[in-house]
This record gives sequence, C-alpha cells and structure tokens, in this order.
Amino acid sequence: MAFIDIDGIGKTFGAFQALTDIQLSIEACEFVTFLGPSGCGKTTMLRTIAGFITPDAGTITVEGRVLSQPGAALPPELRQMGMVFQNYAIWPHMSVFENVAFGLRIAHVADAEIKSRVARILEAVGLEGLARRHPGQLSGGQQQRVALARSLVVEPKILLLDEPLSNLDAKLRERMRVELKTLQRRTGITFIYVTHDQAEAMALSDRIVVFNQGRMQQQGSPRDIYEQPANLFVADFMGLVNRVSGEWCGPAQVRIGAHVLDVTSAAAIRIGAVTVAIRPEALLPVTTALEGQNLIEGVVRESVFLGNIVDLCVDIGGVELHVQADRWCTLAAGDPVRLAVEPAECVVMKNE
Amino acid sequence: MGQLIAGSLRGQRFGPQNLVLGLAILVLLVLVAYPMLWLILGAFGVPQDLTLDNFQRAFTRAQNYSALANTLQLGFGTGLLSMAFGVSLAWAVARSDMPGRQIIHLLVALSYITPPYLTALAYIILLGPDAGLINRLLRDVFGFSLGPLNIFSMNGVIFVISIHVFAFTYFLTHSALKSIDASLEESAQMLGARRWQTTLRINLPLVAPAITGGVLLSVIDSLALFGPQAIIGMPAQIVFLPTRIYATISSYPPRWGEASALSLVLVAMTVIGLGLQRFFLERRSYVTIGGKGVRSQTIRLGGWRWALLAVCALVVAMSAAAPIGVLTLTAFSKDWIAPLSLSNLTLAHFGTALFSDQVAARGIYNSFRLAAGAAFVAMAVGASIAYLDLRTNLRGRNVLDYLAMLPLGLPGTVMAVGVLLAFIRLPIGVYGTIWILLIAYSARFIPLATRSVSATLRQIDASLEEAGRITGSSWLQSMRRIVVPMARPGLLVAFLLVFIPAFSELSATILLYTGGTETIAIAIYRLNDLGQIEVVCALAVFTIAVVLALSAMVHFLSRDRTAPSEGVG
Amino acid sequence: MRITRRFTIITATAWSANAAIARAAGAETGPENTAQIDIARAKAEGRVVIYTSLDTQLVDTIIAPFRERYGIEVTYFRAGSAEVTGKVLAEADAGRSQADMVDASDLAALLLMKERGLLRPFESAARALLPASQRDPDSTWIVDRLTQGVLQYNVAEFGAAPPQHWADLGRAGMAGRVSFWSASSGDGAPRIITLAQHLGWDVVKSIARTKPLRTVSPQTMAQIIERRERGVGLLQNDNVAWRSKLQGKGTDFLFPSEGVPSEFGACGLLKTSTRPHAAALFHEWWMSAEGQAVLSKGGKYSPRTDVAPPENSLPITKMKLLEQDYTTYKRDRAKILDQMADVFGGEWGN
Ligand SMILES: Nc1ncnc2c1ncn2[C@@H]1O[C@H](COP(=O)(O)OP(=O)(O)O)[C@@H](O)[C@H]1O
Ligand SMILES: [Mg+2]
Repeated sequence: MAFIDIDGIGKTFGAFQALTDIQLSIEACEFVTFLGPSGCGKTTMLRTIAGFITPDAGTITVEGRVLSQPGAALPPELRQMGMVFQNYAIWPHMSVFENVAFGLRIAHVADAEIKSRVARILEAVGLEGLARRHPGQLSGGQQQRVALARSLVVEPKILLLDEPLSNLDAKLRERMRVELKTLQRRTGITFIYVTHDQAEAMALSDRIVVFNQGRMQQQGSPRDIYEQPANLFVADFMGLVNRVSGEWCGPAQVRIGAHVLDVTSAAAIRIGAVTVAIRPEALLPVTTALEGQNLIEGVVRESVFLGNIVDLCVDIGGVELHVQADRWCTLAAGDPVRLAVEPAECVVMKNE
Repeated sequence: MGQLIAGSLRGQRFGPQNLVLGLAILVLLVLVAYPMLWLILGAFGVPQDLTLDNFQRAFTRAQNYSALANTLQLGFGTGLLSMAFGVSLAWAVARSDMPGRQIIHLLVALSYITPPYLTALAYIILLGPDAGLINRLLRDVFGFSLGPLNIFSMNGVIFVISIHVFAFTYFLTHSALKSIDASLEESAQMLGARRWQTTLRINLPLVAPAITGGVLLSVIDSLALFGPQAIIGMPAQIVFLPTRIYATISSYPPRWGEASALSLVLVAMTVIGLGLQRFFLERRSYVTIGGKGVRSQTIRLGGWRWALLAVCALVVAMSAAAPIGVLTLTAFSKDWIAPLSLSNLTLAHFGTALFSDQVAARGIYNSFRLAAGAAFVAMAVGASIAYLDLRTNLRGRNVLDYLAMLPLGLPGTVMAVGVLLAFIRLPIGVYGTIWILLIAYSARFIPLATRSVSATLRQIDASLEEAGRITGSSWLQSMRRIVVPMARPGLLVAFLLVFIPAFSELSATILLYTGGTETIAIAIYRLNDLGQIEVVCALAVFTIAVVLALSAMVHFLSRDRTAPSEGVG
Repeated sequence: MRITRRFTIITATAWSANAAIARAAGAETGPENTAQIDIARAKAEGRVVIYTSLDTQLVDTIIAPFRERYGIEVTYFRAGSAEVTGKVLAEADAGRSQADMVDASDLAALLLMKERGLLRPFESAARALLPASQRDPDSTWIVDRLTQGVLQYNVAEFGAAPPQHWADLGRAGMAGRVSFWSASSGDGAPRIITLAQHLGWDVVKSIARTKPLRTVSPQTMAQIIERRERGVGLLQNDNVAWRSKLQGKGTDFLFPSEGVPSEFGACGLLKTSTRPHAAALFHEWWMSAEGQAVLSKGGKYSPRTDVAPPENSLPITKMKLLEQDYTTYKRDRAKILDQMADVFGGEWGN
C-alpha cells in the first residue's frame, strides 16, 4: 500500500462531471504534479485531497486511513496537510509573523516555541527581517514565500500547491522553481503540485499526472511522458509534435503516403488508420541514416532562423513536417532534404 | 484498505457550521416565511373560517376600491415627479459644470435619510393652505387672496412622498451617467453628432434602464410609506392601501381578513414592481464598463449653469433644507406660531422630549435597543444566508436567498399584519412585548443586511478561509479569526444599514406597539396627535441627528472598505 | 401632586377591616368591591396595564402619585377610543389579553366589551356619587369623565362675532373655514351622529358641504384653529378648547344654545386580568375624588358630583346637553360609519 492511495475518485457538480475514476498512488517524499489545461479538474482533485470537496465516488486513503469517501470527508483541519493557494491567500489583517504563526497558535504551541519556529521557517524561505510587515507591503514573490512558510511551519506530511508560481513574473518563477525543488528535497515532505505549465511540471516533478476533462490521461516520469505519450492529447500538451495520419501496415510499421516507417506503439493497435506522433527535434536532417533509423525524403518549404534552432517546414509528399534543426543547419526553401528518425520517436496512436 | 474514522466524519453533520447556519435558516423561516404564511391564511379567513369573502370585499367595497385607485395614482404621480427631479439633478451633478455639485449631492442624500413622516409633518407647517409659512410668504409677495398651495390634496401627498423617494432615481441615474466612458460620446461626436444628438441617441439609451429601474424603486417605496400617507392623506381625506389596512384593523371590531386580503393586493403591486425593476436593472449591466478609469465628459454650460443651480437648489431646498429647517426652528421656539426672534428661543422642548415626557423618553430608549437588536439579528441572519449562498453548495440555498430578499416587497404595514396574525396566537409571550417589534424589524430589514454582507463576503476570497482550515483551524476558528475580523467593517456597515431605518421605523410599529414598547416614531406620531408639536419637532431633530451621524459613519466606513482586501487577488 | 390623606385613609381602613374577607371572597375572581382590595396582594402583583384614550399628559399626572404611594408600576397604551377598543377586542379574540383596565371616551365600546363578556363586575366606591345613567347596573363599567363637544374658534378671525350655532357653520361664508376631527378608526363619529340625531342631518350635511378640514384628533384640530389654518372647529373637546384658551393661543369657545353633545368616557376592569387587586386599586384611585380632581385640573368634567368643574367653567348642570344614544351607536356602528364616509368622505374605519 502506498503512502497516499487515490482509488476511483469521481465528482460531479450538478450535471457536470468534473472528475472521473481517478486512480493514483503516491509514495512518501514524492514530488507529484497534476498537469493539464485550465478547467480539466486539477484543482478539484487537489481540493478533494485537502478535504474541501467530498467525492461522489471512490476513496482517498493516507497511511491506511480513509480520509474521504462518498458522502463523508474528514475536515481539512484534521488532515495534517498544508496548502499553498494560487492567490497565496495571505490574511491581510495579520502581520507576516501572525500569518505564519497561525497554525501553531491553533495547535496551542507555547509562545517561545512559536517564536523560534516562525523565525526558523522565515529564514528558510528567505523572509528574515520581514516578520513585522503587513501583507500589503509585500511583493508577489514575498507573499508567495509567506504562504509557503505558513504551510510548512506546522510540518505537514503532505503539501498541496495549486499553481503557486502562476502569478509571478518569468524570472522569479524560474528562481522559485529551484527553491521549491530544493525545499522539497530537504524537508522530505510529499508535494502534490498543480500546474498547467508543462515546462514547470517537468522541471519539478518526480512524477507527472496528466489530466484532461476530468480524466487521468497518463502518469509517469517527465521523460516517459514526453517521449512516450499515451495519447495525442498528452503528446500535444507536452510540447510541439507532428501528428501524421497513416495506416498500419504490418508488425510495427505505418505507411505515410509513399513512406513506410518503423514505429513503436503506445496502444495495442494492429489495424487501420492511425496517427503517428513525432517531436520536431527528433527529425534530424542527415545525409545518410544510421542503422535502424527511418529515413524520410522531402523538400524544404520554409526555413526560419530562430537563434538557438532553425525551424524547418518539410514537405514529404503531401504531408508537412515541422523540424527543429540545430543552428548550423543551412538548408533553404526549395532544398531537398533527408530526415532521419528513430522508430522509438515515432509513437503510434489511435485516431481520435 | 484502512478504516474509516467514522466518528469525525459523522461529527460533521451536527458540527458547529451546520448548527450555526441551521439556526440562521430557522430564524429566517420564523421571521419571514411564517408571517407570510399567516398573511395568506388570514386573507382566507383562517382561523375562524375558510372563505373568499375577504377578497371579494377587497375589490368591491367602495372604500377598498378607492384606496387601491388612490394608491395607483400615487405611484404614478411619484414616478413622474421622481423622474423629473431625479434625472435632472443626476444629470446636473454627474455631467455638468454647475457649481455646488457636491452640496446638491449631499442634500439629496439628506432628503433620503430623513424619515418621510417628518418631512410630512414639516410640510403641514410649511404648506398648510392658509397658515402654511410658504403660502403666507407667497400671499405677501404676490398678493394671492387664498392658498395658493394646498398640501392637503393628492398632489400634496405625491409631492411630499416624491421629495423623499426621488433619491432612488437620482442615485441610480447618477451612477449610470458616471459610468459612461467619454469615449462613447466622443466617438459619436467624431461621427458628426451634435451635443443634443449625442445626449439623445447615445446617453439616454445607455442610462434608460437605470432611470426606469430607479423610478420603479421610487414608486415601490412610495406605495409603502404609511407615515406621509397618513399624516397628509388623512386631512386630505384620501385613503391609500397602507392607511386603509391600518384603519381596518384599528377600528372596532378589527377586520383581520379584510386587512390580510388588502395586504396581499399591496404585496402583489410591490412584487410586480420589483420584478420589473430587476428586469430593467439587469439590462443595465452593459453600461457599467469597468468600474475604475471611467472618464466622463463634463458639459460646459456657461451662464446657464447658474440657472441650473437655481433649479437644483430649489429641489433640494424643498426636499431637505426647508423641512429640516422648519422642524429645527419649531423645536427651538417657545411659541411656534410666533415669528422668529431671539427671545422666542428655548431648549425646553428638548428637555421635555428627551427626559420628562415619559412616552418620548421611553420611545428613545426602545428605539435604540430595538434598532441595535434588529441590526444584530438581521446582520447575523443576513451573514449566514450570504455565506450559505456564496460558500456552500447546500441544495435550495437560492430559495433561502430569495426568502431573505422577499421582505423588500413587503411594506411595513403588511409585514406588521403578518407578524400580528402569526404571533398573537402563539403561546410564547411575544405579542404585546418588545419582542414582536424586534421580530418585525429584523424581518423587514434582513434584505439590507444580506445584500451588504454578501457584497463584503464577495470581496473576501474563499481561499483565505480555506487556508485557515488546512492550517489546522476548525470552521468556527476560521470564522472567528479570519473571516469575521476581515469582514468587520462590512459587518458594521450592514449593522448600521439596518440600525438606521429601524431606529425611525413607523409603518410596522404603529400596528405592533403597546404600552411600554413605544418607539421614537410612535412618540412622534402620537404626540403629534395630541398636539404637542414643539416636542414632536424636538424629537424629530434628535432623530434626524442620530440617523445623520450614523449615515456619515456608513459613508466613512464604506470608503475605507476596499483597503483591507487589497493585494489579495 | 400627592395622594391626599383622605384617599389613603379610606383604602387603608378598607384594607385592615376587610383583609380577611377579601382573601376568602376575592381569591380567584379578584375583588368585587373596594373593601375587598388587598393592598399587599396588589403590591405583590406589582403592575397595572391600562389601555386608555385619555391625553398622555393627564395619564402621567394621575399615575405618578399612585406609583409613588404603592410602588406599583402603571404602564399604559394610549390611542384614540376606537383604536383602544379594537386592540382590546383583537387581543380577546386571540386569547392574549394584556390589559387590566380599559378606559375609552366611548361608552358604546364598553357596552360592546360587556356584551362580549370581557369586563369584570366591580363595585366602585364612586358609584354612589354618580347618577344611575352613568354606571352599569351590573357594575362592569362606570363613567369616568364627560366630554362636551363645543364650538371652538379663532378670536382674530371672528372678533366679537363668532358663529353662535352649529347651523352657522354650514353657511355659505364658512366654506373652507371649518375643521372637524376623527381618527381613521372613526372615533369622531359618535358626537357627529348625536348632533345629527338631535338637530337633523341637514345641519351636518350643510357643514360637510363647506369642505371642512379633517384632523385626526381634538388636539390637532386646536392647533389648526390656533394657527388660523381654519377659523372654527366643529364639536371640539371642551377640555382641549379650554386649555387652548387658557394658554392664550388666540382661541375661544362657546356652547351653542341648541345644545352640545355630551360624551361619556367610561372605564372597566378586564376579566382576564392577572393582576386584579392592583387593577382594582388603581381603578379606585382613578375614580377617587383626588384622581378625578386631576382630570378637572386638566379641563375635564368629572361625573362625580363632589368634584368641581374645571376652573372658570360652567357647571355641567347649566348646559344644554344633547344626549348620545349609546345602544343604537353600538348596534349600528358599521352603518353609521358608512354614513359618515358618505357625507364627509375619507377613512372612517368602516
Ligand atoms: N464548486 C463548483 N461548482 C461547479 N463547477 C465547478 C466547481 N468547481 C469547479 N467546477 C468546474 O469543474 C471544472 C474543473 O475545475 P478545476 O478543478 O478548478 O479546473 P483546473 O484544472 O483549472 O484547476 C471546471 O469546469 C469548473 O468550472
Ligand atoms: Mg485550478
């Protein structure tokens, strides 16, 4: 049994099915990210774990204790979790110190200990010296740190974070990413993190869980998810991808126009029309292919120099492929080109 | 699979949250739904019998029929006059470069917060057909032999009520005009439209829903104003539905069934009006384009601005300055008929009003405690209903919300009939005590509190409360330490918004009070019946001073209100 | 104002002599006469609630010495006669009577309450001093004041030649100069109907044709005349006219020679009272020579023959009184109010 077991969770709001059969196990000290477009149910799932939402189906078990089941949920205050809200939810009528000390006061911790623990945690999040400030006098990044400190000071076993970085500017976001990751490693707290930003998810997570329309699409390490998307949605969501229609034509082979590609298959498909997903950076302009690689011939339609890469549009006979070549590529529109691609990079999926 | 901690899960159902909110629902049902049920039952003759006679009487007896006709006429007249006063003043203040706009705005507010029955009393002194001060002045100046103005007429009633209720039209139109961005007009002008064309083709359609909504609100309020309808209408021999309902019950033997049926007729009128008003104001939404950053065009009037000022000044002089002035003057005069002179000044009437007259002194005390009590109950219930509506997914919460808004459509007289019917038979000792007034006031003003708290709660993001929960505090602790402290200015505003009208409530009180539970409004009304006009005026001045001070406080608090939630997303 | 020794002695004697009897006889139903009043129990009851139509200033003056003497609190509900009656009846219907004693300037109202069995017989010590027509043979009510409807006028308007007769108020020249009073509950009707019954409807109708200004009470009518909003008042309360004149407000009043309607105000104790001794004790103070003297000082005529008329006033025996037919009024009230509404218009509570 895992640390957290999410078993068949479903939730509807009126006629709207917000979550369907969510099945997930999370280990202690893991950094798990719920990733998906806005409105796909990430927050709903997170709030169900927190106890703000009672599920209609399924159970949530933490360390063998059932915390949520249909029609009943242990109230959030008894779950020993922490949560960082998207808008930080810093209480404006309390100083930074009081905000952070709140949970300790509720738990009737002695004053002296409160002082030292708050001081320690403020230092840890880089807010030393700001204890007296009021939230109105803090920058967005500082408020973010207060929210972190506030939820960490009570030493939760699980920390839930709902798009904590989405309100910060790009520079600060990068820095906070690193800090969050370090913090998680240092404290060993289980982080469940919600974001719609796939780069953020990849930078932070041990494991990513992709959501769409209230359903779990795929879970796995960032690399697995990127390289072996379970379906077109995941492939699309994780980054740029060429979606090419083809036809299954033999064991691990797909015909695309005049070309036949060796592929790997995400699903047990053995017949009919399929889609092949190929990342643009997996297509390499070459002179000759290596052993086992697919080789596709085409003509450059367009070439744009972007600095770190060169963006090519290659016509391979009625189908256009998007190719990201390195910056030394000098191909121009009209040039013939040969593209090499590993069969592992050609992921076949059911048509949708 | 682990074990369910059944205890803490079951505990939820009877937890403090459900207890507090459940109690609020119960109070709301007892305060609003139960009296309304009795009003309907009463109209069918329950408990004595079950009949439709009362409805037949309500529509066929000449007295009732003419009360209905007069009430409609009153509504029509106040609608027209409110539109004339409200729209022109709103335009002058919002859009023109007329001098003294701030003062005009404040005086409109003052005419709104002055209890309308006091304005009515003042106008008997000012516009009595023969002895009225203004009539005397007009006769001296223009040499009329009679009159020329007679407050004791349908026009008189319409006038006195309009100078109170036009404020609704004014405020709604004013804010609509303020929210039209100048760019809308400028683009019309770029296309070659002239000033008057812009006004007619762009501004008017944009603010028309606000004007209609405001006028309807003015009309609805005017139908319910028992005070001026009685004070001016009685001498004028004109009967309106509220005064008719009052007379039906206060004569002997009291005719409850007829009063209930008439009450339902009045409710139907106000509810239809409110429905229309909602309809028009919902259409208004396209006017409010953003709240801030709206730039409005000021229209330069040149020499005409002084003429406009004269018109506006005349309106507010009639609606605020003159009535309050004459009440004040009378309150300080030894002999109110004698001309103004230093030797005629005295503070004695205040001594009588505040200390020695028993009914008056008791009235002041009762009004303070009733207003405070009702404000507290309405605020608590209103806060709970707003919370239920905004923060929970309880089934039927919109029904509760509707129920909490229902008293808006119930004139005080009607509310009193319902409360009387409902509570006079209950074995608990509510009837004949101050509690029945507390019930009526709380019920009447729950909508004000609910709306106000709801606006406050909307500004406090739910996550602030949830952050408290997940950090380990129970619902009750989160309420006490996070939501209530943050909402405190808003809650205080809600408290005051109920306190102010409750302090001077007349139309429900007149049917519900008894010996010992007189309020300040009753003292004023009854002492006026007994001819003690100077003491009445002293009480009036005191009342106005109290509501004015509290309104200033509301204004002050509301301005500060946005401050705490800044930076909270 | 002090409670005089005489009243104290009478009640104290009654108390000491009859305490034992009172305890035996009046235990359940309350005292049946003055002698049975148990002052100790009255004090224990602690409070009296009266519903009255008397001017609050007078009520306050009557109450104050009583409260001081016995430490018994008196709370009152004051409104016009019809409203007071309506409230008593409404409460009785609902079984939630609040009042211990009721007083209204409308004997018909007390007759109605008696008919409905709301009043408790009580033999007041004052009975002997009142003519038989002014007390109930069954002792459920007793007249406590007499109000005459006089003709009040503004001196500046009429100088030495005020209208002398009721019929004068209906003359053409009086258009827009007359005022009359009745609250919306119709409490001004009894004396108008009396006038109509004695002098004929023509007189009343001709007055109505002058478009008289309606006021809600005698006191507001006095104001109207003092300010000269109108010059003359129809059927003004004698005490109100008397006070206005006394205070030098520029008004005077007269008793038309064809007669003035005399209205009986009466009081009674309620059966449902939970404070029978305190109520009876107060009733007796109210009806005592001292209590009634307060009324007389305030301009009211007492029914007691041993209480002097108000200062500078005609004794009641010197007036021509138009008697009111209370039984008819009680029986036909609804019809009469309809008539009033027809003749004068406006609200009569009908
Ligand atoms: N309390 C609620 N009532 C009704 N619908 C809700 C509620 N909460 C969320 N939803 C709906 O559920 C869907 C998922 O919402 P959410 O979990 O907030 O998505 P996100 O993935 O952006 O965090 C959305 O369509 C949202 O409108
Ligand atoms: Mg979300």
